[in-house]
Amino acid sequence: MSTGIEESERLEVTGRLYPPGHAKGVEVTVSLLLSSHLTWRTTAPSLYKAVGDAVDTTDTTAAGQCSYDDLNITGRLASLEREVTLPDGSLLLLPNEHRVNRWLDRRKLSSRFYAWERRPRYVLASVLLVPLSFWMLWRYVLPAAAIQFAALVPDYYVDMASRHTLEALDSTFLEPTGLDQYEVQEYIDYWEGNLISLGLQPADYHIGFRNSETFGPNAFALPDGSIIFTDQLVELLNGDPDVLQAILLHEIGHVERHHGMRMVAQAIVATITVSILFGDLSGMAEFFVGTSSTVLQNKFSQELEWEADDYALQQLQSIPQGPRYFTEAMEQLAELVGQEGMAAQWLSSHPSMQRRVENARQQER
Amino acid sequence: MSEQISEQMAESDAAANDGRAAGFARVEFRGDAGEYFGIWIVNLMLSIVTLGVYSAWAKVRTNRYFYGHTLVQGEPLRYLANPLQILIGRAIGVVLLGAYLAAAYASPALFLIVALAMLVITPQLICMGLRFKMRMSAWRNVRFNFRGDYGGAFKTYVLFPLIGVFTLNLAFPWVLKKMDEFKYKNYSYGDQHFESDLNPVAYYVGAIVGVLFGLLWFFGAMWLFGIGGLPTVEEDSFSFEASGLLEIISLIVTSVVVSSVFQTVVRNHLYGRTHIPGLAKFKSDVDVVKLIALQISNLFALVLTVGFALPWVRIRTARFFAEATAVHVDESINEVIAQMPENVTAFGDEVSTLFDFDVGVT
Repeated sequence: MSTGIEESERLEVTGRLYPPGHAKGVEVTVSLLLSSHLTWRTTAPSLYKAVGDAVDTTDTTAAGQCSYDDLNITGRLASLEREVTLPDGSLLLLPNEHRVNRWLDRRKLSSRFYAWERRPRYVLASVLLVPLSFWMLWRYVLPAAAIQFAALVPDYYVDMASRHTLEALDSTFLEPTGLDQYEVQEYIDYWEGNLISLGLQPADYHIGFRNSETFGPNAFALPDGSIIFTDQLVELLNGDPDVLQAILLHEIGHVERHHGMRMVAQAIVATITVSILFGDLSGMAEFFVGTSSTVLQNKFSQELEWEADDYALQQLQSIPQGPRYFTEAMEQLAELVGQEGMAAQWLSSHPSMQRRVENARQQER
Repeated sequence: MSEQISEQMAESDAAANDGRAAGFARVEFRGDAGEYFGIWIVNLMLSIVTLGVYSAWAKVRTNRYFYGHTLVQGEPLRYLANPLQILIGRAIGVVLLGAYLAAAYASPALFLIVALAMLVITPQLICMGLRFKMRMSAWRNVRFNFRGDYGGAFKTYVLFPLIGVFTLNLAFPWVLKKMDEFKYKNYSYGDQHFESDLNPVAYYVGAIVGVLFGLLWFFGAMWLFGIGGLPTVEEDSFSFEASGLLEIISLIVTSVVVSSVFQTVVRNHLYGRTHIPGLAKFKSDVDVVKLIALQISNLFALVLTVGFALPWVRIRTARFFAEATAVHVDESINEVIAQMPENVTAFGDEVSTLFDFDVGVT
């Protein structure tokens, strides 16, 4: 029927053809022509009597053809059957064979991705590059971006966020302080004097005291410079203004280095990154990725704590016996916490107290 | 016109398909961990290098891999989403999530307003997400669909869970049953609707037996390892005081036992009670002991390989659930015709994933 030349220009394969929107497929013989045309014919023509752009329909055969440019070819993936959608919406499944792939893919970008996914060289490179880029992202890009972001946040946002957070805490976990106002004033006056001599602006910080059974001995800073001590902390440190001042400087470190906003930026970026890169997980995979991300968040938070500790210790160098007070504060807190295990350390937002005490002791010399 | 074609199809194929459509056939999963590893790691690398842009293409390739290697009656499922659609949905989702988190950190009052707004639009997002997922899934050139509406989703995902909270969680198994029902009663394959006749008793049995076995295991482990009680949670951080690794592992295994028992009982019930009238029946026979072993070994593999076992975990989990599933397809499958195409956007699906709504398509 056809000449010898045509035979060599065509590749004949058996595929399956589903008419548009039908769950029923028929076996078809497909010819892939060098002239960038595809023709198909089937000996079970009943389906195609009235559907699609079939031509040459007789009682025993149906056949059709279309040009390469009109085909919608789904990219090659693993060894899955090749999917080709014809202009009328018919689905043509072709075997994933070398010659078929060559005809279908030509210079398609997706065939390059397919090649990368298979080649040991690229897989190995990715195995090395992925952890490396995660590490770079974690170590350098994210912290730097967080610092940039923190500087960009408008003051009114910082003030509002801090004010509302404190209001919310006041109506939940915090109660008015049990200290009388003279005691409070005495502390503040004493510290303000010292802050000025350290070259800091006392007006930047709003120091306050609260009673809180929930928080226990604790202190925290908000991004707008509000620094709150709990009565429980004052009690634990025997109301010693110098020891409390060491803690104050740690909290000022958080404020000065914009730790609040850096945490926010970091948390937002990390949440989105994890969700995009590992989106649809379930079961243990989800649990593992979730836990890993918590561990990394805590690592970041711990680094900020170290930064605040170092800030405080550096400031305290200019005060006689300064670092000693910091060590004392840490020792008291360490005693309270007791021995901490390794697993606990991963799940904690703060560095271990023992290590903080060691760090402070080293600075004393 | 289509009826005429269908008749002819039925005639011409009744003979040919007899053997295959006769009984239940197990779903087959042909994915290979080694092969998928390459796809996973290269796609992850490309996603990072392109700052997340390629992640939309990665998602499509991953889903195509898993769908395409899942064979029902010898024919693969297909995932049809367009990466560009997903990229747009993802971009909108990221902006929304960023705004949401910014509001959350800004002020508890503002957060309350935003959270309330989220509560109002969540049912819509869930519907859009499910519709997209189903519309993008096809078998034999016919797509699935989901036709649940806002009202139904609001009841199922907002109202009922609230009732659950007010009944001290006693109504929760019933709420979960309602969620499954909402999904399965609204699924369709082409023009054929799913039907699901679920019994809340199965959900209660799953929950109660799960908790019983969980407690049994937990106290057994405590007695065996001599662990002294539950870890105490300290102040703002999650620092477990003096807690050993054993204690954490025991807790994890306990939760695996509880969730696996529940999942097994419910899945086996759900599949057995779901069918497409005159077209398909489903069966699930998950073995609970094997499921627990699978989950625990998955976790150990992930921890020991710092996550590199993820492809292997996903492949063997997919194989486990595929092999625990059987489908009976009637000859009338040949008469199924797709519904008119309608426009769907990836937006709902992407936002749901980003915000981690756990709707789950079982």
